[in-house]
Amino acid sequence: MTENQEHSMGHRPPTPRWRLWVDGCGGFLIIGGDKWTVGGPGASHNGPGAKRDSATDVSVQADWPREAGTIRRNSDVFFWTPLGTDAESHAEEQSASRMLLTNNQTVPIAGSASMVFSKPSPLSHSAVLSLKPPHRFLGHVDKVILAENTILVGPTPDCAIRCLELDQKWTLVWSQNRWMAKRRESSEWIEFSNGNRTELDSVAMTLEVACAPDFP
Amino acid sequence: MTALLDKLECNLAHHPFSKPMNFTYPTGSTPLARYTIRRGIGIGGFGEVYFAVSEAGKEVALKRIQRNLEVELRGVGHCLNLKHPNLVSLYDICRDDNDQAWVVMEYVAGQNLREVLDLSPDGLAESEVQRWFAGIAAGVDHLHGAGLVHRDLKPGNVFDDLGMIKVGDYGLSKFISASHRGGHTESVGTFHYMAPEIGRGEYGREIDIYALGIMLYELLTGTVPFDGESCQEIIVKHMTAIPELDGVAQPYRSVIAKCLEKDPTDRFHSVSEMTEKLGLATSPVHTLAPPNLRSTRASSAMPVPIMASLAAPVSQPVSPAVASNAIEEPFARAVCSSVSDFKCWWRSLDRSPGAKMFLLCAGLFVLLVNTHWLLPLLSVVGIFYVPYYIVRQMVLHVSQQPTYAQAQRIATTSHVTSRAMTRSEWRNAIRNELKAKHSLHRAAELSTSWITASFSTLVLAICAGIIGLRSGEVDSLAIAPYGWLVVIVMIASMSILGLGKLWEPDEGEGLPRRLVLAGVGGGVGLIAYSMNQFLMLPLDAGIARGIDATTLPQSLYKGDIPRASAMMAHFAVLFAILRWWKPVDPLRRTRLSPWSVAVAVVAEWAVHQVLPIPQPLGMLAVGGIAIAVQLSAPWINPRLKPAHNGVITSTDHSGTSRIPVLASTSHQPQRAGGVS
Repeated sequence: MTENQEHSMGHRPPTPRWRLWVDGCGGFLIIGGDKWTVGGPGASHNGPGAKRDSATDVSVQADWPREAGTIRRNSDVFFWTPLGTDAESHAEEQSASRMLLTNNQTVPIAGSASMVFSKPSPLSHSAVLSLKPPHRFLGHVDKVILAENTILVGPTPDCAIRCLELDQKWTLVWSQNRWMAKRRESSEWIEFSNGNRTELDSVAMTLEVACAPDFP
Repeated sequence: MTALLDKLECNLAHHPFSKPMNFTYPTGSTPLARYTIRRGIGIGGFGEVYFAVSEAGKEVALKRIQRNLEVELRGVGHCLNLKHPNLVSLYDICRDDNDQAWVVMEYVAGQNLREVLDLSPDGLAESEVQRWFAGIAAGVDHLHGAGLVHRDLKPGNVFDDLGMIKVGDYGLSKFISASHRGGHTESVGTFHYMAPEIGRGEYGREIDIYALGIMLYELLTGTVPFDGESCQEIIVKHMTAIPELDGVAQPYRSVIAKCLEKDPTDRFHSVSEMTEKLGLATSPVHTLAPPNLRSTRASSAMPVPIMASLAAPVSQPVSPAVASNAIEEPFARAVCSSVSDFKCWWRSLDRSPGAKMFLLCAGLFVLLVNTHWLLPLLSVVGIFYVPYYIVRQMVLHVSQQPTYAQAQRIATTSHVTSRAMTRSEWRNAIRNELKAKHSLHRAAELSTSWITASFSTLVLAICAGIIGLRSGEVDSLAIAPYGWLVVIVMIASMSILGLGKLWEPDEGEGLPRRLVLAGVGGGVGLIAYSMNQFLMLPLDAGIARGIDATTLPQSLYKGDIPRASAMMAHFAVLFAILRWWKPVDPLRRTRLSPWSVAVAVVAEWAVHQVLPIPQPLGMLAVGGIAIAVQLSAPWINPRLKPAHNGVITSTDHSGTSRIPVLASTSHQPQRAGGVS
């Protein structure tokens, strides 16, 4: 059984996901792992008791297919693979249809919505997905962070989570099954816990677990 | 991301400000049963705004009304059933279990115009200008058509809701009433967008037209037409300055000029009339595309900032006479003007330098000969002038308070500068804060200073007594000079502290202040003489001078014994030659400067050489005054770092020493020593 078949049958291990709500800044869906499915709204995205917003990792309220394709990370580069070439095709076909995603590139998905891929900092392997108006991600978030171990948060354009209210950059680090934040030139770590408000400088934010085993 | 009521700004320099946002409700809270708060959006003048999601998944903004409840709820109530695509929809007003009022309204996910303009300091491309302005105009036109005035139009209240321009935060709106267009006491709006008639309490729809004119200018140029270092400066420019529109293309130039007319009746009478001149439609703008253009002007294919040439801040021509007239005291202005006229006449006098010198000497001689009646006359003038000046300042301050100064405090409540300021910037910022201080607060500070001055004087007198009376007999005659010292230092210190409190809002001009201080000094001299007589202290003690080359004017002295007029003249000169407002200025460099004490004592010695008084009491008194006023006057320590994000940094990257920045201009200045 291939990986994609596992996924389509619901056997794929859940991707760790968090929602970070930053006061005065926005809501961010942080997704771990190296492979993420992208698509339109699934049947259960808003149903009662639904634990996931959609069947896909990144779901957009748009006229997209339920699964439009997959974004993969290989080291520090990201690739887009459209639906149809991923599940059933051979490795050569997959390789041929695979497309390198570069900074500020629109992900080529047929439909009314335009999703922009950006990798703001070469120092971090995390990337950001954002939508051009008037579309929104499901889950009421403004952006999606395809997270590696570090995420830059700060006021400058090289930050994945750009928050103008912050005075300086912070680095969010995934370590020992928890997210911690550290300011540059400081040795003090601030630990995030599920659902509790945390302050970086004077900006309050709350990290919620969407799906992440062992997160405290 | 943005909000409906995102930022109340008095963004004087248009720097991107950040602000500490301390929201009451954290993520996951459900103050209203059906809505779960996800995050805070912003904090404005009326309360906090949250992004929340209903049980069914509807995204809304919840505005918690904390301040000016009645004003806000009344305004929102009027607007609940307004329907227009260019207006942020208001859904409902709800109350939580604690009877706290909440406004449920449409969540706007896009940027507000303030954020957009901050990212485009040269202004927007013409197509974008038209898109934004057509949307704003359509929304405001609908409000006016419904009989409402927005009253707080500014870029922070206009949003790009995923392609649709929406005007929000019209909770301040008020029904237009032909019979009741004024009389509302709330201070509203933001200074850069405030029409001049708001100061008179007039809130007709013309104030929205005025604000639209300012916003159109800002969309085109990236700057506001009337900017300044302080709120007062901006207000004066709104009232007096002619906007510099030379670089603005037609038809925008003529439209903006008409919108910014000082007289509301000279402006456009409706938004549609205004947009017609621009060739824009005020029908709802639904699409992401640029608005319907009636004009035949060809729009550029490439979005180019059409006003890039105006990127640099435009200095506005303000009539200095008009600007200063609003602030200066008329008598002081007359004296300054006379002195200025005299200088002009003197320079234009067609005489040789020798002849000029002769004229000068003759003039001085005439003055000296007439000191016996001139000094008492000046003292009498001073006695009347000082109370007049104090009352005038207080009345002026109180009359200004409810309109702009308090609005400034609200407007700057939630702002943080994101960079270290230079010393002058820091001084300006704090000076603005001092201007906005309420009279009651000022009076409370003054009374605290007076109490501190009293204690300081007593402690100084006790110290002087311990040293002076350590040997010899301690009787009433020996103690009396210290009693004199206490009374004089206390009265003089309180007078100087009072004047310093009046003068702290601005740097001020030296001459009027010196005149006032001379009057106060005359009064102190009279009290000093009376106390001397009352305590039967010898008036000839230590009267000998170091430089005894001149004869004493007998109108002031009886032989070598000073008369009352001599004491008055002595203290008047002493108070006039020293800048006593400096040691009581909250922005002085150090709380207690030994240097200024030394200067005061040396000045006393110098005056003593011309107009002697009993010594060493004179020098002790002056030294005591210099110490007491410094110890008692409030002091804002520029090096102090507030505990919570109050100060960003004290050193910049280049290593240059920078002045820390207060986090919020609404915070009371950090003071050392507990004088509040």
